[in-house]
Amino acid sequence: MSGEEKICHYINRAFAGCPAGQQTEEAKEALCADLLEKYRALLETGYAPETAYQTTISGVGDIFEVVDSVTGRQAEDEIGYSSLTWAQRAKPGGAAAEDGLAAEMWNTAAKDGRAAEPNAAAEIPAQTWDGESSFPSQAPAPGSPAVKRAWAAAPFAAAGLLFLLWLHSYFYRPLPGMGRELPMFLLGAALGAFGMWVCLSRRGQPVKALFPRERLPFFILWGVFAILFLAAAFTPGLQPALWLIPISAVALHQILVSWRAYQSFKKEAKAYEQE
Amino acid sequence: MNITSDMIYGYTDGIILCCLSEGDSYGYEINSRILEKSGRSYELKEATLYTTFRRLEKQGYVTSYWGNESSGPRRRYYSITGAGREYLQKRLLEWEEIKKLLDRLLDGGRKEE
Repeated sequence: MSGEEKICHYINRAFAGCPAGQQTEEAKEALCADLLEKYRALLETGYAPETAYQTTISGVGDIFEVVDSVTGRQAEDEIGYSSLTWAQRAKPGGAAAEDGLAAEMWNTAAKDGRAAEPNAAAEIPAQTWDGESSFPSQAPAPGSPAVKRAWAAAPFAAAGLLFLLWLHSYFYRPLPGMGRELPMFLLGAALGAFGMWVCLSRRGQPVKALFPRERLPFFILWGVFAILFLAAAFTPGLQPALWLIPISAVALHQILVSWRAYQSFKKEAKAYEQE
Repeated sequence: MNITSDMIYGYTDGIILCCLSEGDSYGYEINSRILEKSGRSYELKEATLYTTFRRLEKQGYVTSYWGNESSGPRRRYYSITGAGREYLQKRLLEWEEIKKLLDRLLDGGRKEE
């Protein structure tokens, strides 16, 4: 995870408990823009990426000050939030913020024998946080990672179903009211729209952000399938057996991806309900 | 010399309004300017900066709008209002009074040195 990604992740985690909405998103975006600019400026002055990241995050101060100002802490009166000290708010088992960043800060501060003072603790994630921790109690509210994953999986699920529909139409019989070409046309449109969405949502990011290293095997696999698909399409002798292999594999992969996203979403929803 | 933030905390809004009176700006730029003007001895925490922006906006002393950055997250620009300028003038006059008062109060200490 790059320093820039870690900064965005830090902000996302800090706001994880906030109700999703325009105000929260705007606060996150404005803070992200400022912190990223600071991080880049530090890199330009010769800081190492990790040091630049730590310096940027330690300069934020008490992030919960911002979170509180955004939420307005409407539920303060119900839980007595405003009367709690920072440490009580951050302490697991306290009246609020039982999980997430606050708890993590508390745990690390306790481990180091440091008092959970706002400034001291606010600096801790920069020193210890690897950015890969899970979100055990995060509500799957709109905009949360679970919901984003579910939405990201939706086009895959749709594409997988369209593939299967096409297989059915081509090898078995066309569905009523649908020619053999319609599912393929819809599939092409769906994949095209998905590709456009991916590119637009990640505009301005380096190309490598579009193709993360851990997903490289999938991209290669898809590339091979695409070549097989095209070879079969333009080589009459190879049809239909060769068509079947990539199409089935792609369809199964897409359904698998969707299923995993759904499972992840369900897990987070369950954790939220238990909380 | 690093200045303790407690001394300046009460004047954060005045400092920010002062920066904005020179033109519209956004968080990072304002903080950089503060750092530069203070001879790199004072920098606001982003959390303090952001909560001050929100408070000033609620009070009607600043307005904000989004920048049109072509890539990455957008910057939130802030602009001082007429009420903000009036408030800044009051804070500046107040600061003059405080300076005089502190000079009088701390003058004894200087003499003792």
